[in-house]
Amino acid sequence: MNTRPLLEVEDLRVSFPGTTGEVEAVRGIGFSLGREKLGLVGESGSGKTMTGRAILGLVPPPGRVTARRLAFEGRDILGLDAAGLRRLRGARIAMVLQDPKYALNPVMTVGRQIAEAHRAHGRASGREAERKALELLSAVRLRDPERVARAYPHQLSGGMGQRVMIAMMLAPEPALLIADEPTSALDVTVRTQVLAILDELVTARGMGLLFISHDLNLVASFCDRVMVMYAGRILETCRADALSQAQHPYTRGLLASLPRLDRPAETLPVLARDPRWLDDARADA
Amino acid sequence: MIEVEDLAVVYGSGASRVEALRGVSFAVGQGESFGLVGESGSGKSTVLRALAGLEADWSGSLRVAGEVQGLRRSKASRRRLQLVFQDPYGSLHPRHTVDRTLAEPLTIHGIGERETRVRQALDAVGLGPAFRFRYPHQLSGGQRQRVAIARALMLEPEILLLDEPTSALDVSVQAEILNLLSRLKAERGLTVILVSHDLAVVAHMCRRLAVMNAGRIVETLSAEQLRAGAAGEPYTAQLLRASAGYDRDAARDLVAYD
Ligand SMILES: Nc1ncnc2c1ncn2[C@@H]1O[C@H](COP(=O)(O)OP(=O)(O)OP(=O)(O)O)[C@@H](O)[C@H]1O
Ligand SMILES: Nc1ncnc2c1ncn2[C@@H]1O[C@H](COP(=O)(O)OP(=O)(O)OP(=O)(O)O)[C@@H](O)[C@H]1O
Ligand SMILES: [Mg+2]
Ligand SMILES: [Mg+2]
Repeated sequence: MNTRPLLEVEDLRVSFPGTTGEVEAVRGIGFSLGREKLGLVGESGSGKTMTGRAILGLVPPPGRVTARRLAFEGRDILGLDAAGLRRLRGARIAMVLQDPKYALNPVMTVGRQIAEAHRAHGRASGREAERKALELLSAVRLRDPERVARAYPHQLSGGMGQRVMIAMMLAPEPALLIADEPTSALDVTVRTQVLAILDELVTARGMGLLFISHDLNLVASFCDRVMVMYAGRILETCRADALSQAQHPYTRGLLASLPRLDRPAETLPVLARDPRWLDDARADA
Repeated sequence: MIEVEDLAVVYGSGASRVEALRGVSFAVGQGESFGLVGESGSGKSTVLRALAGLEADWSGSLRVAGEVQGLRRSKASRRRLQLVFQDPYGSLHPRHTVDRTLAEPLTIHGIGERETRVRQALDAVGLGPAFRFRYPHQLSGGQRQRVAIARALMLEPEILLLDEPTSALDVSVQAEILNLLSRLKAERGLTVILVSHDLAVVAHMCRRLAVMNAGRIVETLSAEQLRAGAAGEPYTAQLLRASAGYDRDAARDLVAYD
């Protein structure tokens, strides 16, 4: 059994130069990810997406990424050129983007997009890739995979587009999947089924999963570990099933703001931010 | 306030034909909040689009404030009913400032007092004047969604249709938006239809809800029944179980209903 982590991150920083000074989206975070389901939660703007994008070299210009170490399967990926990164992205690492409508090509049928993603992986013939696309579409529980394969992205509902995106990212059978809010548009039944696919890939095939989400209850029940991010730093890391007992007032504030089926409330508590939290962040997770 | 009877929508033809809605009926009273939940692709957004006059073709009958709705809507009925779209990224024009986005409905409907109304709308959704001349990419997801809600409120509608208004937002911003909506409901007596996958959000906002599956309403429940887990139909029971969180063993037992 290979015990080396799939992904090692030390002192990762992402910043954007701006007219009113630099915006530091990620301010020196560190963690390692094995063949596990690692959750990343935190409020809007805390840097979750930029963390995921930095790992894949997908931070849009003029963003700047630095790190003491950013290694995938022991190999430095920060030093890779554009071609090397593209090879890695097409095959070994994939990212399900937060907004499927941006990520899908609006003028190509869904079936062709998935087939092409599969062929980028190598070997497969056109016919085989087509069959694989249909297989993936039914794996993500689309009711009529043949119809969906022929459809263009605008002909799909929000949650259907999201599932197409997941199918496309699973097509090359990546070793590491970064999933940014992959199930936010799914009903809870379909969500469970789609998560079961990811779960299976992690537990049976040894895929690593970085699962970015604002759904705290979901992360608590699905992931192995969870990192809580605030203002570009990781505030705390804990076992996912212990999230409800998290200690930091920020994490407790997030948990408290959730409406609950078992506890009706007139108004919901909102987060009261404390400037001291900015210094609370731990350097490593 | 809203009466939907036997609404049916079909897309495409031949092998690509989809019966998106297969006879949907429900009614929402004045000042009431009504939830729509159910399977992804079951037709929830299509119901809202038909009500908002954005579907090219449908059959059945739609009545809003007692008025029978045809395929085309009068200016008055468009003003009365506003839709906040599912996609908070795509629904704002990327090259329009917040100010222009909010003022546009006023221009279209020939309404004056632009200055005051824009400032009031920003204020109502808790965005300061500093946000007025920003572009969408300079806003966080939650701020963008508040702009979308502010735009829907510009024409002082009586009915607000909300399609997953908080699914892209973090939980604290979600709490802010839900509190805002509750306040607007109380202050303005708004009638609301809310589509959401989050059953706790629906129970928080709505007194009644309909569960949809494959283009049909499976059953209608009260928020109390939802909270008590009192489902009448197997599809609803399965949905309620799945809402508790991820469970590997439960995932295997899930079935598709038609
Ligand atoms: N192109 C850009 N220029 C300047 N700042 C940016 C740019 N893109 C992102 N940022 C900033 O970087 C920070 C982190 O953004 P990021 O998208 O990682 O947040 P997030 O945690 O994914 O939030 P959400 O839950 O809303 O998706 C935010 O404050 C955002 O405003
Ligand atoms: N423009 C279109 N052309 C063809 N089919 C369409 C079009 N728009 C929607 N559909 C189909 O209609 C059905 C219902 O879609 P709708 O968007 O109403 O679902 P939904 O319940 O809102 O789903 P979600 O929860 O995923 O947003 C889907 O099968 C979808 O593929
Ligand atoms: Mg994000
Ligand atoms: Mg929808």
